Amino acid sequence: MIILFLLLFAAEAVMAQSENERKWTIGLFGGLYFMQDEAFQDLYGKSAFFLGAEIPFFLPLKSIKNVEGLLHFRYLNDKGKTSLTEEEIKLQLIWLSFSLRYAMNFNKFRPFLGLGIDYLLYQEKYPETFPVDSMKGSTLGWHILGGSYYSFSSFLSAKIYFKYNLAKATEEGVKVNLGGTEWGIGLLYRFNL
Amino acid sequence: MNAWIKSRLSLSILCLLFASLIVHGEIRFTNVTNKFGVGGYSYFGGHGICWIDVNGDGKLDIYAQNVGAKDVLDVDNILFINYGNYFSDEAIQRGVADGYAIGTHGAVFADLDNDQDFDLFSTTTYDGISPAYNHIYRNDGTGYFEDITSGISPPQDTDTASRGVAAADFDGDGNIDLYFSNPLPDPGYGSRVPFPPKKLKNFYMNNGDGTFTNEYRGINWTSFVQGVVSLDIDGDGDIDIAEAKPTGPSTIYLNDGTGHFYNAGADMGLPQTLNQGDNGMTFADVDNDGDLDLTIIGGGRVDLFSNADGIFTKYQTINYTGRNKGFHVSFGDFDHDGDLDLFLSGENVYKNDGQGIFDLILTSTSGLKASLNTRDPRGSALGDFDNDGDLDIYISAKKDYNVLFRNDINNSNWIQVDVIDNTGCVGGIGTKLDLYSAGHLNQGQYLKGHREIHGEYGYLGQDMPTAHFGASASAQYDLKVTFPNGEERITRNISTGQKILVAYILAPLNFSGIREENKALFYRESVISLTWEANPKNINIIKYRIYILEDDGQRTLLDEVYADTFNYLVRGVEKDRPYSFALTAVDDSEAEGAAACTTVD
Repeated sequence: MIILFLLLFAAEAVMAQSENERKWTIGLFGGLYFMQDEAFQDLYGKSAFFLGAEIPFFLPLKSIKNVEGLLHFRYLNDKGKTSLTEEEIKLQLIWLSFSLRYAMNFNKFRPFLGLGIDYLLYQEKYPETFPVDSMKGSTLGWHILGGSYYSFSSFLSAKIYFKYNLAKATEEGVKVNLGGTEWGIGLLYRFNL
Repeated sequence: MNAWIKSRLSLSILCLLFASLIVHGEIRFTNVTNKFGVGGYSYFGGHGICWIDVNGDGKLDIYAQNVGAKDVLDVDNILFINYGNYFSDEAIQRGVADGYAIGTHGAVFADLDNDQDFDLFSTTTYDGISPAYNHIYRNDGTGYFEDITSGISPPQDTDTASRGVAAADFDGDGNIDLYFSNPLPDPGYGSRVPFPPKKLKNFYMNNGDGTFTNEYRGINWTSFVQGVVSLDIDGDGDIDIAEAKPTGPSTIYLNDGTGHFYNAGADMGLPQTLNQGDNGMTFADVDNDGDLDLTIIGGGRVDLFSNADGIFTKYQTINYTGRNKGFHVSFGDFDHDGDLDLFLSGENVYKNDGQGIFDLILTSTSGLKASLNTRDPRGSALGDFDNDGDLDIYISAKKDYNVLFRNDINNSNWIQVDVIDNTGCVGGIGTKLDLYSAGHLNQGQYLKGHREIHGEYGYLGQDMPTAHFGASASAQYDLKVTFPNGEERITRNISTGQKILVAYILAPLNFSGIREENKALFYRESVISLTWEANPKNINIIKYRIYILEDDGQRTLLDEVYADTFNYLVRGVEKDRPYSFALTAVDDSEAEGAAACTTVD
């Protein structure tokens, strides 16, 4: 329900934006995710690479200037080894996130700071020797983020950011801290339909 | 047909008959004493004789116990090392000359420290010169010995006049213990009547750590003892002891199962007559019925007793025709016809008719004339010193050179069996072997031979620690080996003309398990990590089997791993449940050994 609400809200916002400026914006980014969980660090390493996409938009509320919304998702796919038998295991994480951020323009820079919520889907696949094939589920999380855009032109900007996530999950009595810090860079493209 | 043709025809027929006798296995020996240089001393010396491979080179060596004479003191024992074409006395350099002033009598080789070589227990015969103590020597594995007599506790402080000795695991603790006769300096050889029973400490009980405890275990000394033999005489699974006593009566001491003994000779049918001059008792299954029959020798006669349900009944007497009163009897299938023949030390060989009745083989046939000519022959022992599959004979002589007779039968109608027993000991003392026609295991009418490996027997002799069977080469055989702990090992379809090794497969060492966690991010698999070590006493191990033990004691096979693997991970176990496991080694004949077990909470 939350996801549906966020999608409807974002769609309405994008429509409002396009009516005002006749421009669409889409961004692609990637980075490293530093999960806090010690087991993750033991099994998969200190960090994992992810890819993502985002759609920033202005809120349809003209009274709240410089506050914008951001719809984004990220996909993390990593391979690790079990602690004792060192058999290959695979982890997939998908974040569907909505953020609100405050942003201001300084020449070509546009720094921002915000917070948001995440809907996190996870799945871990195990070798045949394991008693179970895989574990999967979902959880909600929170995040704060900060960063800046740099405009190369009216159509193209670069982005650098960090994000601190809070998310926890429990499966079969195993508590996993999915939170952590992510660092990413990306490009944004603005276009008219 | 003229006379010339008739004579030639008759000659041809005689030749054919003679040849057929040879082909079918006539008993025939050749005196090879001088060829191999094993005569020893001339007018003094030989008593106890042991065939044993002390240096592990696959060739039997000879150990001869010697006593001195009136003008001969400090007589060393002889250790003839077999170099194939000749023997060389190396007793002094190898540390077993054991040169007590007057000499020694009984000796027995056994794996006293479970390290798979033959150690030595050698008696000492007091005759007026102190100290006269028994000695124990540890083999270093190469045939060199270290005197470990100081490991006897309490230390010896009484001179002994020991004759016969015995070695076996009397108390069933997995260690070979020792028994010695006449634990006193003056055994009263000439006494015509038994002495009042004396409770003397005549056992060296093996503590398993290189030390021995001198104990009394129920065998009273009542009169002078000559030969001693130890086997499972009553077939109840423990080792009993029999003693030959010149003033008598010779008797059997049964083991009560704990290594303590009681005199059962009268109950088992042994004669209670005194002063028979008994020098030796030998047990062997001469009628192939699966139990041990008895022979008593001495006083100029050999009495044979059949065993029927533990009662011995005399059925044949052989009058001794040698130069003394008769000391020692050995049984071996000299002609490879499937039954045990009888050899009287210093006399002749007697052929078994298949029912345990023995008929003299003349020296003109047997080639044993030198045996009859020996002055004061004492012990003898059987061994295959030339590794041709048949049994050769070595005789000791007190007032003459010892004699080596080579068996010249030279066919492949034999099977030899070496044993490594359930404690990892070589020699397999206390092990029973039953040979059957293939496919007829445990069917009495198909029993082709019953053997029990033992140490010294008769007067003073120890055969090679290898079971020898005569068996027709036209058939195959199944072998049942019953180890001292009662466990059996079956080997099927054995062809003749070969020596096989039947080794009890010991449990792997240090088998243990710990519970561990195999982590994934979202799952914790509980596993049990099992580890073990190879048992160095096992041979030809090709794999290990891992079992899980169920609550009802049943075991379910989890997996098999190669012999070079010493750990195993049991996957997906329940976190809060204790598990028990068993581990066995499997050899190249697919025989599975004893299990090591462990429980993981």
